[in-house]
Amino acid sequence: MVEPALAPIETSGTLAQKVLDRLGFRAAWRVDDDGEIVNESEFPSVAA
Amino acid sequence: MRGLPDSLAVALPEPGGLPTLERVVRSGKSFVVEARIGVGPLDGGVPMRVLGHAMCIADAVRSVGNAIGGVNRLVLFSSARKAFGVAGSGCPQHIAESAVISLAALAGALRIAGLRQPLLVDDSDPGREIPDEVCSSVEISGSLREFLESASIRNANGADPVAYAIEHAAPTMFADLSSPEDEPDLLRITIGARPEARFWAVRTRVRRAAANVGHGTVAAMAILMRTLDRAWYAPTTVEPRLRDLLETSPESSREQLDHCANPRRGGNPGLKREVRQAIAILDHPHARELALSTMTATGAADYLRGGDFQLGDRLVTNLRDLS
Repeated sequence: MVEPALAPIETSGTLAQKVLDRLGFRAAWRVDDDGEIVNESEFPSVAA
Repeated sequence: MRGLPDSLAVALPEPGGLPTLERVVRSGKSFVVEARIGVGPLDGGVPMRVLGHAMCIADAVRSVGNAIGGVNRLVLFSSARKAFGVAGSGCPQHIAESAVISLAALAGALRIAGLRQPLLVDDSDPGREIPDEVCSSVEISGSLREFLESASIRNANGADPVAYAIEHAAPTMFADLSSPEDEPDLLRITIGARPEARFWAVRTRVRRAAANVGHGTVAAMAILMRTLDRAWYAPTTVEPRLRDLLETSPESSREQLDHCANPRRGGNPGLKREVRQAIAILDHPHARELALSTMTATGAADYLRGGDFQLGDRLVTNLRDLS
């Protein structure tokens, strides 16, 4: 078991972004639905 | 908020899997983090680059750990038997032997790279593990299907590329479907090179299809090393092999590594990061021992049995059959 040092979960934004924020896993690159690695700025938003 | 390094890409599950992921993340102090790493059928001898690949994995594991407090355990599996099982043929002896060698090579390299978590090493199940009712409703088309078909042309295992990709979600592979043995708050993270992104996309379709027929899925995501273009277990012809460490000087090994990633010398620039990392640990006191142990399947089996690894039941049985 680990004791994660997590930031408070955000109350706005999509569910995907909330999870990433909570984990501290925000990255400049994301994998899209076809398995292409694309820049976050071009990533289609994921509905909450 | 501190993010992940630019060398890493994040992959999230299908939208329907996000609530499960959020629930685990919300569980706060009690979730278990398992990192899974797959090894495909080894094509040729173990490349020296495996050392650098392990260093890149170690960096990714540390980045994950820095963000969420730690990775509890590592699981390393070989998909070689799965590939031949999907093809409907038995796993040839030389493939079974090279699977053991590749598992030993990466497991040992991960220890050399400094990872100290419990490390489970196992073989995949050659049988079909994803239920037919799930497989039949997985739809793969367009560029994703083209990628899988193109990749399969380079393989000699004869497996149907889509069926093999679907099996990546199987319990003895990346384990996307829930199992009674899973801890209630388990976060399963795939760590892999760039090509794994395509298989992640297939897995999200399998997860979606599984959920549609009532199967549970685990909280999962992937951290992919986006600058690693070529799987280490599919080395180029000009890459130095790990065994070369035993026959050439360190200077010569460094030069060979440098050349294989240099496009002006006919090398592949997609190998650069792993090569740089491999050069950094060529002198590690256990690198030569690993090179010697992975020259033969029996040597690799002894290395796995005697090392700081936990061996899965399938692997234990398969090692017994090798000797």
